[in-house]
Amino acid sequence: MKNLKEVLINTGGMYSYITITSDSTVMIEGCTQIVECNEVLVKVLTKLFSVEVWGSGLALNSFSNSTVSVTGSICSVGLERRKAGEPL
Amino acid sequence: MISLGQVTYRFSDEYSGRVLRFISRNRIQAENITTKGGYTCLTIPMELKRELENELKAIGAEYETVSRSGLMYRLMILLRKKGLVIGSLVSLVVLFVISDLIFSFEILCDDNVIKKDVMNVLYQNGIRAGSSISGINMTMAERDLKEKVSGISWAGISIRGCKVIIDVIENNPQPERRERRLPTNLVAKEDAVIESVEVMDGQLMKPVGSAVCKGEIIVSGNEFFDRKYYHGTVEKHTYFQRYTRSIAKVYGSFEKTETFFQPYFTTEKMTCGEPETKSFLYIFDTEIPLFFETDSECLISPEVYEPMTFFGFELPVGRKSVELTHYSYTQRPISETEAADRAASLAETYEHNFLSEYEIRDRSESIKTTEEGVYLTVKYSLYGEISEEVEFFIKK
Repeated sequence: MKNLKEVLINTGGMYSYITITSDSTVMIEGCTQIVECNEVLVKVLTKLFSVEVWGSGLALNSFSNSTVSVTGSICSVGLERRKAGEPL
Repeated sequence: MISLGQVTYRFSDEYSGRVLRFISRNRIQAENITTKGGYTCLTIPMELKRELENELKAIGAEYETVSRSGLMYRLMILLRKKGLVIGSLVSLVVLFVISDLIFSFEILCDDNVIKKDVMNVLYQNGIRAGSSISGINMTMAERDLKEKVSGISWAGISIRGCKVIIDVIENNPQPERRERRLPTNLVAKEDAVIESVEVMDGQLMKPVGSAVCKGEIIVSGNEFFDRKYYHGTVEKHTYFQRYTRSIAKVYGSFEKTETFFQPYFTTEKMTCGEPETKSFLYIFDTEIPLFFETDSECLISPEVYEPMTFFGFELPVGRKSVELTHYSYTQRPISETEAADRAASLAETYEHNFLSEYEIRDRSESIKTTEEGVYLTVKYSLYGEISEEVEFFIKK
């Protein structure tokens, strides 16, 4: 049952790829919403996760294909599964 | 995506949440979204400017435009500078106009006479430096060139840029033909003794070994024939007369005496002062002197032409300069020895110029010095052609 759910999520494009290129760039695909963007924290939502990027001097670039990139001095990238029923 | 430009906005960070949601909802391409000092900055393409501004107005955010960049803004900045726009337009118009003008000519021929004739004919056809290329009637000009320029058998005109190229094919040189068919005598041009004769046509009047005076007929073009026949036992003669052109080579020996005089001074051309550079402004084919006065008695150096160039193209405007050196004639006294040497040099020049067709068999000279100068008398014993052709029906 769990496997079936995974397959459905995967085929429905629910997963998003997060690419940590270096300690200065993180690329997050499938972003549904930018929640917060300041010097130390960038928080964005994907379909299943809330992604938090911590660091200093952060800046966000948003592209038209639902992809965002975070640049600056990055300390950590955190993932938190979104609760059921939380609006996308 | 090619962006025409970018705009950077700054607004209070209390509105950043809503603006970020708007960006992510509408998938707006935004760069450098940063929050610092209570303000949020972001950069968006110029095409999306109106959309974002409407949103900012809708949420009641006060915003300001921090910077603008990109091709469109640069163009707008340039367009605001009217002088630059007018200058560019004027340049374009000037370039358009001058691209239709003839600047220079190239004639693919080595003969300077033909080149000059070709230029004259082109000038008559209105093809000259500064005239319009579109107004050229090449067919007529080519036809005129073929008709009016002697020495060419074909001419073609082509245009490359602002240069008119004239290709001509010169006539093949015709072999020389002797057109004289009048009856002529061969007469002696010197008092001489005939040493050998080769007669091809005409009647020989003087045998080898005989002396002739200047003007005496050696070979006559008026020939008489005596045909002898017998009528029974009676001898009869029939006389014929024929006019012909005398052709013969008559060689003889003769003597000639010449005297050369050299005074005790010589006239020499002396340069005075340093060379002076004179410049001309060269516009198309016109040379405008950039000086006020000139002295005609000057030695002129070869011209130096420095054309102006525009992006590698040679313009018909430039500067020509020549170096002029003043000179004067001065008389320099010379010694008797130098005078004798100069007299000998005169004799040598005379031999080179006037006696080169003869063989000098003997040469004796005597020098006589007077108060005025040196007299060199040279007695030549010569051998060579001594006859010349004279038309005998024409009074000379």
